[in-house]
Amino acid sequence: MNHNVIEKNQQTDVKILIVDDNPEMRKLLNLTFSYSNYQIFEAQNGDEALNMILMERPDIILLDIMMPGTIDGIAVCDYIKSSTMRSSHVILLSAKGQQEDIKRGNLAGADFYITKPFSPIALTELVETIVSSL
Amino acid sequence: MANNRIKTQDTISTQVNYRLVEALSEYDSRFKNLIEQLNEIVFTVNPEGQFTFLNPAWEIYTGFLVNESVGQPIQRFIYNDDLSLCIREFLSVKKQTRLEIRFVDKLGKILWFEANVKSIWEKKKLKEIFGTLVDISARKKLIDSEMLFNSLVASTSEIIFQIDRSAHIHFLTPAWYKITGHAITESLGQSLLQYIHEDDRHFAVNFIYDPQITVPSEPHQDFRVITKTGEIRWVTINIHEGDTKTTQIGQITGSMQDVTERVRVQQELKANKNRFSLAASAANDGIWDWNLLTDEVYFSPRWKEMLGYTDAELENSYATWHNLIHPDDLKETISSLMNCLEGQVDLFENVHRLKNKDGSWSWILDRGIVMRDEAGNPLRMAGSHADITRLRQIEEALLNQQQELSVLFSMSPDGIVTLSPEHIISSVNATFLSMTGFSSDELLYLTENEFIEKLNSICVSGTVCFFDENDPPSLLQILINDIKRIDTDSYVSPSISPNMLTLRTTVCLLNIESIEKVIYFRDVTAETEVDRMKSEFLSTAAHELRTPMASVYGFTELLLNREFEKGMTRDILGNIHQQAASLVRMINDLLDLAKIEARLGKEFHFLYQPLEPILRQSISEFMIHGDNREINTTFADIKGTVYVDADQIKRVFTNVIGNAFKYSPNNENIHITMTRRTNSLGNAQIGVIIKDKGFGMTDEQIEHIFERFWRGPNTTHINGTGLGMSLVKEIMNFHQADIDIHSQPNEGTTVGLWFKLFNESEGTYCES
Repeated sequence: MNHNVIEKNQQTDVKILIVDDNPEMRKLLNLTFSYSNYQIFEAQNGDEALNMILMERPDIILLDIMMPGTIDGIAVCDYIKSSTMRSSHVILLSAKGQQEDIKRGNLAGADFYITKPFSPIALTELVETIVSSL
Repeated sequence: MANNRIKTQDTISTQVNYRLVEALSEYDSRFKNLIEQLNEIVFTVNPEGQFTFLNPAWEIYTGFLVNESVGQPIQRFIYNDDLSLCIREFLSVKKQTRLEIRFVDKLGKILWFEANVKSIWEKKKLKEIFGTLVDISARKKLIDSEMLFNSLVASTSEIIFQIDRSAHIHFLTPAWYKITGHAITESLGQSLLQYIHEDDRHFAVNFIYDPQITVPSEPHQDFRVITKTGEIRWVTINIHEGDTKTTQIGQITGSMQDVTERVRVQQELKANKNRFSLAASAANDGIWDWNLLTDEVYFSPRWKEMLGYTDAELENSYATWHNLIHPDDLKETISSLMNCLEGQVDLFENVHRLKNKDGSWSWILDRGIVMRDEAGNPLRMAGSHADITRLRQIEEALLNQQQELSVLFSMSPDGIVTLSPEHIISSVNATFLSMTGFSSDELLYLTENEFIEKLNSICVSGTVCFFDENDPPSLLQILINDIKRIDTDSYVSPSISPNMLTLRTTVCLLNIESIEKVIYFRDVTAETEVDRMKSEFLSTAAHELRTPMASVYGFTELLLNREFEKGMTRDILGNIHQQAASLVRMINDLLDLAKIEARLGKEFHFLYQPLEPILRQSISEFMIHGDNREINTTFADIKGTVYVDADQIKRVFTNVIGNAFKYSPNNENIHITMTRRTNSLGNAQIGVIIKDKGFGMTDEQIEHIFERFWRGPNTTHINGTGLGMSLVKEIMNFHQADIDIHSQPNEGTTVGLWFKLFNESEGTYCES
């Protein structure tokens, strides 16, 4: 379990969970959200993700779809959206950009579907929008 | 008696009386003499019916003495059947009567007499009956025989005639009227010749009067007679032999029979025969006419010509035909002929071969008719021959073609199913049955809907529908039970279950008499699989390329939009560079793979060359990278060459050795061996075996090793595109070389690369 805690504030910081098996991607996403007071958590696969979700109850979850193991991103999304955590915002991040994939994501209840390669700046703007509505 | 009365009278009259008496007695004795001389019987009978007087003629005719007959009742001498006649006419005669009556003589013979009877009455009382009997026996006999003759003659259908020297008719039987319509009374006295047709008169005269002189060409017994109504009837004339005597008297007796029917039939037959010959000769057929009684056969010149013979070369007999029949056809032909003759069937039809003069065989269609007598016995048979050799050849050609088509149908690599115009399955070929696992019994004669249902039951995906030709070909995936899949060792490994076939169905509407629809089932499993894999590959490739690209793009954007510390900046740039490099490698590998898939053989340079130098060069490149590890080599001394593209094989070695390095820890050496073997098919091979003591793989992982982009677990820290072994496999396949992999987790992996060995000196394939 990787636990990267950047800053701890007295305020309840927005918690972001990054789920991706690719370390490069995790590094990029981490760097992307390091400009502000976000509490960033990481998970390498579906199982870890579920654990983190239960433990930290993140507000926003950046979720890769293609991951090894029995639980892929879609399954995780599905789980979140049918649980008490359904208020968390799920942003699916995937290199798979076909219509079917997007449809699958929507069916699983994802709030957003972003295809890779993506613009990190645009992503931060999206997250900020979400945060302002929290 | 008169004497007594005259004696009692006086003397004056006595003299007169005496003279009278004398005259009377003279008369009496003359009368008596006469009577006694007479041939006729004279008699008297008293009222009681007894003879009172009979003359000597009585004795002559009847044989009874006068003495014994006088005093007897007349009945005693009368024939039984005439007794009542006697009583009625004879004894009850009023005055005078004449009748014919039969007496019986002493010997019992019947005598016919004509009786003239007169009765004498005195004072209204019958005194006596007297009469004469004339013998009419002879006459009666004549009359009887004449009557017999007449009745015979009247009943006969033959005309019996009597003519004199000048042909005038003296006698005709009633049949004359029946046949000629001329009344006999009219005809008597006329010349017989006038009733005969004028064209035949000359012959008739000759025939009747000089029968020895007959027209040599025809025994002309048939003549035409003109009836009263102007019709012509044919008669045959017979002159009776015995008439050589009667010609003295000038009379000729003969008979005529009406043979119109016979002549008519004969004429018709002849006409038919002529017609037949004409028609047949027009049709170019050979004619034959077989007299079953004499065994002679008439063969028309055409008949013989058809087989290449002249008329004189073949005898006109049954044997001629029999001996020309082909031995294989003989039995059946003769049996068919016999059936016809014996079996009361009149039409004969048979196809058989006959030998031509030059020894070749012609196929003949033989047709004939049997003619029989009234009892059904065959008398004659006639028929025609048609040469159907060419037809037969066409038939055979058609048959061959049919067989060829049938073979094509059954051997076709596509499954073929045909439907009749009634929408019923009319045929299924063997390929379809082996594709689907059905038997022909299950499928034949099903309706279209039933067939669809049956297919649906094994169909995994796709819709079974065969309605319209215009429908695009549909793809069905069907489940098959036990299939013998020939491993084509293709570069694309099938990832769907080996128990499924993908079939492309095409519907063709034929609208010919027997087939309405044809459905083709093409096995496109491989193509579909390849297509699927290609698209999967593409999407996977896209995915794989996008991932490092996301890093490059993302990091560069961050660098452009934010301020980072120098150290961080450097770090980030390092990431970008690394990901970019990864991209480059991947793109290169992808391109290589694409090239091989496109089989751009032109890019490859195949040569017969030794393998060792290529291997050595690959190995040497690894030494440069300054690794602690060593490559231990064991090269057997192998003569011979391989047929390879050096650059590609070097690539193979590089990839495999590279993997050995990548996936084993730093302290373990790599072992490379070059050796020779004979494979299971008996072919000589040269092999390069690369062994490492690295992480190894499980059997399941070995199965995936050649998949594109596949990387083992826990390899994310090791650079790799996942394409290296895919490329190796492609290249080895293209070289028709083998590759095998053995591995144990945590113990290491051994990769063997085997190439066909060629004899160096001869350059030909070496078989040991």
